[in-house]
Amino acid sequence: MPSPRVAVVLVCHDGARWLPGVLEGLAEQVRPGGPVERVVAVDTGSLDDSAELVQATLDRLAPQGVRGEVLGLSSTATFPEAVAHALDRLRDAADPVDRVWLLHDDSRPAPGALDALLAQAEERPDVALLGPKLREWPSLRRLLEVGVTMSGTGRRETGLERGEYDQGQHDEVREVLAVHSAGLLARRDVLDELGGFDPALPLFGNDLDLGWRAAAAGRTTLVVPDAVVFHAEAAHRGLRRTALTGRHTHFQERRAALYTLLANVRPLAVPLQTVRLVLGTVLRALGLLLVRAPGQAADEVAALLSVLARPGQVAAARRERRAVLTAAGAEGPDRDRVRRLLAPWWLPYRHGLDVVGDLLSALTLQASDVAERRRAAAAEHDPSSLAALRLRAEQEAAARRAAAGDGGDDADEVDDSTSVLGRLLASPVALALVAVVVVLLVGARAALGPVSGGALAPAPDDAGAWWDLYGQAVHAVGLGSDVPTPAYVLPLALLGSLVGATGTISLLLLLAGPVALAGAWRFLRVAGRLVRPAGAPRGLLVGAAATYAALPVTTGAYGDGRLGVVVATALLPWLGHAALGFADPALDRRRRATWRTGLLLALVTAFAPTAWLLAVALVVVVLAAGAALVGPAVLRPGAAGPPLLALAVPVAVLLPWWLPALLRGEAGALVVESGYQPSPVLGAGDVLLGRLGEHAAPTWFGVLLVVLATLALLPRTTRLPVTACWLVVAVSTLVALALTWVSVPLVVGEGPAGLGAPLVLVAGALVTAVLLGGVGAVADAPRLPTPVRSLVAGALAAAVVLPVAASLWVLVAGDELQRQPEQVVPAYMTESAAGGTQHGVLVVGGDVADGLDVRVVRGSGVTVGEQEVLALATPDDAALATITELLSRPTGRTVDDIGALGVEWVLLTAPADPTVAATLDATSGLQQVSTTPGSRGWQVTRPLADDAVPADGSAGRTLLLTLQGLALLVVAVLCLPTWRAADQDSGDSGDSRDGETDEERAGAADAPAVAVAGAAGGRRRGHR
Amino acid sequence: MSRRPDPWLLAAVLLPVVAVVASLLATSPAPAPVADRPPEETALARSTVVCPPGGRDLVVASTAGASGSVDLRTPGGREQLEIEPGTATRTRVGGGAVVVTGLDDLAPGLVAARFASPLSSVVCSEPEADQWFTGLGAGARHRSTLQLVNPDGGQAIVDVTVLGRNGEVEAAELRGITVPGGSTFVVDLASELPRRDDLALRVQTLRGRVVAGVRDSFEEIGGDQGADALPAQDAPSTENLVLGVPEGSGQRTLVLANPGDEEGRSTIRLVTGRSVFTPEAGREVTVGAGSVRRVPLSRLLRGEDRGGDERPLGLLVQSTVGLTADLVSFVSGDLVHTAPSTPVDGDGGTVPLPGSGRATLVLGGAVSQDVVTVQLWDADGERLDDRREELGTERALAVRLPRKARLVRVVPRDGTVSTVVLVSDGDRGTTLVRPLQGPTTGLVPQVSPALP
Repeated sequence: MPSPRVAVVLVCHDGARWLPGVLEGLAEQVRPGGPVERVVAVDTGSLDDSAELVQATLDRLAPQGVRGEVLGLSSTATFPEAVAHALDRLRDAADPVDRVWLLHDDSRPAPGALDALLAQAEERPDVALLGPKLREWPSLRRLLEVGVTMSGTGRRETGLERGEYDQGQHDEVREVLAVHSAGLLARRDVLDELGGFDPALPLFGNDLDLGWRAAAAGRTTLVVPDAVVFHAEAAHRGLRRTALTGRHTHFQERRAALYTLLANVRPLAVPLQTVRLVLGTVLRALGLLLVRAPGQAADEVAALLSVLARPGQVAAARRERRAVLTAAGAEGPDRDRVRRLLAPWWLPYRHGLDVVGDLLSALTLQASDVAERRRAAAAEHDPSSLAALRLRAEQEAAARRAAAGDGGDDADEVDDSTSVLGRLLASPVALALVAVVVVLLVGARAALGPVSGGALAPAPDDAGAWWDLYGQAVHAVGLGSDVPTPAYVLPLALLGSLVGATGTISLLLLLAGPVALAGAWRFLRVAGRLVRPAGAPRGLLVGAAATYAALPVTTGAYGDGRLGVVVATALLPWLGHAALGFADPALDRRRRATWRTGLLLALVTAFAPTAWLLAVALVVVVLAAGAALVGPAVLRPGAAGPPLLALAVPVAVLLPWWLPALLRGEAGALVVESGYQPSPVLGAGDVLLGRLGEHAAPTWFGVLLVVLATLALLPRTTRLPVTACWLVVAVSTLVALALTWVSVPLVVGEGPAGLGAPLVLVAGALVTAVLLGGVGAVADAPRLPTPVRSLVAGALAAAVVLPVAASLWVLVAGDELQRQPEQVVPAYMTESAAGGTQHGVLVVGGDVADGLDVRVVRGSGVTVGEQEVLALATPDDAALATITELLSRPTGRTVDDIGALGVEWVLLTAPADPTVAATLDATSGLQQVSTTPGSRGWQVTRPLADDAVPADGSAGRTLLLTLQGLALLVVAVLCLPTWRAADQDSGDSGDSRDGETDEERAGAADAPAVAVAGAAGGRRRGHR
Repeated sequence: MSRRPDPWLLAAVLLPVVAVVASLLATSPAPAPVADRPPEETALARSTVVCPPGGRDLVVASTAGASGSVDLRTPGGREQLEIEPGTATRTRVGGGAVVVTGLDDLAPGLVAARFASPLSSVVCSEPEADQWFTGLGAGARHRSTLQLVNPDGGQAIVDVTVLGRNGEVEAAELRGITVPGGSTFVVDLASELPRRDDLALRVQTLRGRVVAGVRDSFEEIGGDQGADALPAQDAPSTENLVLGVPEGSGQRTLVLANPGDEEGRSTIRLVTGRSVFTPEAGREVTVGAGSVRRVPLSRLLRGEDRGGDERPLGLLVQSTVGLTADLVSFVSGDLVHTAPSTPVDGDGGTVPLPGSGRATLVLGGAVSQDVVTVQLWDADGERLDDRREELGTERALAVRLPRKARLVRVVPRDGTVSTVVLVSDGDRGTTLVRPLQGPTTGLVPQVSPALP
């Protein structure tokens, strides 16, 4: 077999930085009598001394039998043009070589790379293209590419994880769709046949296009991992800017990918693919906007537009490819081979999930390290302090552990072989948490399916009713009401559009416990670590979190059907966790905490309206106490600004709720508990004991919690934080006391203000105090005398009673929730009423001697969201006078007026007063209808008015809704973490720790970014 | 040298105290108890009095002292009747039911009665939801017809329960009787459930408004005969005062009905002008549960009739359970039904008189010593001299009324007094007329919105 003859084609452009290494590597491949016969270097207008460097090396290699030359092209010459120029030169030679080896000016071949490639080429002479394994330069150990393919969205898929170390896991020779043009060994005739690289792709993506075309032509492309080339990826990383790339490498890459896709995919798939690309681009652009990367979003859209705006180019490309195939004598493209080599169809979705997961983990990882960061900042501030020494010791230990773990080959396998289930079963804490979640779900089983009862009205038929209610300024309920829609209707409508109205209520009630558990766990863990570096013992954490998670049931809120208090309880620890961000040393994290706290506070206030007042009181007291005790430094804008700004966020976000309420003098709507009015009535001490209704846990439970929280003040170590918790308790009870002086006028009588929010906050603060006191007791115990130590043990044992009793109560507590609401109104009347607002049902109860109670039922009855609107409406005196006349001395005209009120049915509930019944029987215009025994019913046979209770939006409300929408959008965007694509990392600091945060490098002044794609130690499987 | 107290220690002590005190004080204001909202009294704007079918002599009067015209609705049509204050305006009507409606000024105190010849009287009343009739018959000789009059436009539904000698009588046809609007439904008991014993009826209105009346007739071949309207009783009672025992010989029978579940024992006492006493014959009568008992009293009454003050004016039936009662008397060939008397309170009870025969006012059942004013008007509406009668407890009083009197109004000063007027016209019959108290005010209930 004749020995192969190789010509090296080296394309240079301002590569003086790397060329020395490249040329050295090239020299290593050359030996006398070796395969390299010629070297053609194409220099595209370099401004540095690239050309001279190459020439010098070629001169050095000349004695070894290598004929080398340097060709010059203008600086606007593209890579395909440069290669084509070189190929032309090779073709012109009298005795052309068989193979061409392409090198970039930033790709250094390892010794033996060319030989490995040639060895494989000898084994398989039919193979047209061979590529090496690319490793990162300068780290030399991390894999870049071992063959590439393309996914359905045009993304370049390497099948590797970012920063994957080369440990021989990808070392088999296999066929791929394409190989990188750096180090590509190609048969020269095949290259000519395929027409080289596509000139329409000046810099990026032309290798994929070549590979695709080769595969379509039935040519095999192999990757030979034994051959290693180190690539600096200068253009891709933006380290080298050329006239071709401009400043937007992302745009160019994306454009290249789209073009390749559209030019090579089969003809029938082109329209579908175009649509898919458009949708995908829009989605990706939105996502990038949300993570505050507008430049990249613009690049995406620009790339799409640039490809779609020139369909002629794509069409011409497709024609060319067809022509090439025809010229080669093939009947058509080798579809099977292409399909086999392209990436699997599910890969883009897998990437999407990964992004979402990364985002979520970035969100959650953000604040959990506030404790660590505080200590790190303190250590920086005073490196000689004890805390700093401890921190350094910990970090060294961690580094040693990591180093030890990294050395062995099995390091990667250890974590993966233990399944999730295995790890779960081995950890008692995890088991306990799972048990608690099961208990909570079982306790909330009444919420499965349609549920109502107590203070909870049934859900409407679909979420559209909630949207309508939210958009209206005047509501078509009862006798008409202009009370502003409660703020919680918006989150309900959003959820309801996803899972349906009934599903929303069930979901909220079912998941409140587990969500509270998760939030309490996170909050208490961080609180523990703020107090003691090692954090709280896990057993105490589980107990405290379980006690808190049971609060919706132990306070009786769930049993009473107080949905607002239940949801507020679930959200409160997340709010606390976000608020802990105010203690962060970095200003930007404090700012991020502002928005998150503000948004969560708005959500909690929507469900438990008095929460905002409570928050204001807390912030004021804490700032005042801080100023008094620590000094005026607490009041400087950097420290006091974020909490105050966080208070302002609900004001902006809940605008359509509180502003009309204040303007119309219905401020009572801002303090009542959500649900049926009147709000729950609390007795003496109930705020502290956490008893909201009659289904609350027994009194001794609350007493035990208070006693333990008081005892928690004793351990000296944690006295300060426990006192802070008690400060929160004291402020909450004082706010509750102030609220008891508020009487809210209802449509009849008066009702109390809602004390759910202070009550829940008190309970949460007490649980936190008990936890922190426990931590302190455990820490102090070794130093205490033995009898005291046994007392402490006793107190801790008593503390165990709390979660156990709470869990038992969750299982056995009664509730008022039931599947079917009690029906007072007969079914046919309800059906008729659902047909329009003119078919209202006037329901009359009571008797003449003690007074009659009337209400008008419209639609399918009172549903969630309408209860407060009905209960707080100002009574319509004219309508009441008409109704009084109907029930006492009706004339024909009275019945006409009743019809004009939009009432079609009159129902006397059991027991029906015979006088009233007789009066109505005697009235003309009323027709008797049958009802359940004991009650009486009539139908109004006069014309009914359908505009009696109008349901209207108004310009004012639309304006407020628009403002709310804008505020929500702004705050939501500000809440999300910044996304910086990890491949924009500076390639220089090759020894950077794998991802984590950039802030160490960028400094605290920049918005700290969390590299999303695969950083922070996440391990994912690529596709194989 | 004083040590400043550690602020944290101070806070650690004070804060729990503050929290406990605040929570003890933080009690929600108790929701205001739902105050009873009694109905308001207003001037009556409309009053309807319904006369069941009976005699052709209709007498209408307004005790409120207003004049104007009232609306008369009969099967034959509508007509207006002018009435003057204090005048018992008479008119002749057909035999069917008559609905008298007074509006505005004429609504309060509207009373009406109709008389037939031989003398029998039907008192016109407002619709009642629950009434008892005792002493009916459903046989060939003793026939009763139940008349149900519906004055309104919409239909009414009535339930009739029948009690007989041996308990409740199964009468499915009498359940859920539908009386169309503006019509009279007549139930002939003899054809519906022919029986020989004495019956008691309970008429309950389930829907709508109905005025019930019973016409009773006896026809013994060669024996007693006659016809009269059977007055209604509102509810069973443990003390039934049956005032107005007619003078003269003739059969006297007391019919008692016990609608309850327990057997009842009753004592029949005689009420005279001087006292109430249990006769030596010591009648203790047992009435079974849900059944009707007939008690012949002729001998008893005759034996005790010593004349003058000692003449029995009425019967007091005291029993262990609630009973309804009716005294059936045959006087000079006419039938007289006496039901327990209605008490009249300070608003006064009005009795229109038929204009023929001699009227005797019988008063009784005073709870305490009382003075009763008897106002009289003649046919032209002129006021006659008032009579003031003193009435003691445990006795009755019979007052003969002047022949000129056409309208009588009885006003007790202090409490309530049972009142009835016995009119006897010799061979032309005898009847009892009960006083009427037309409603003077209406009730407007307090209506307030209810919380959802």
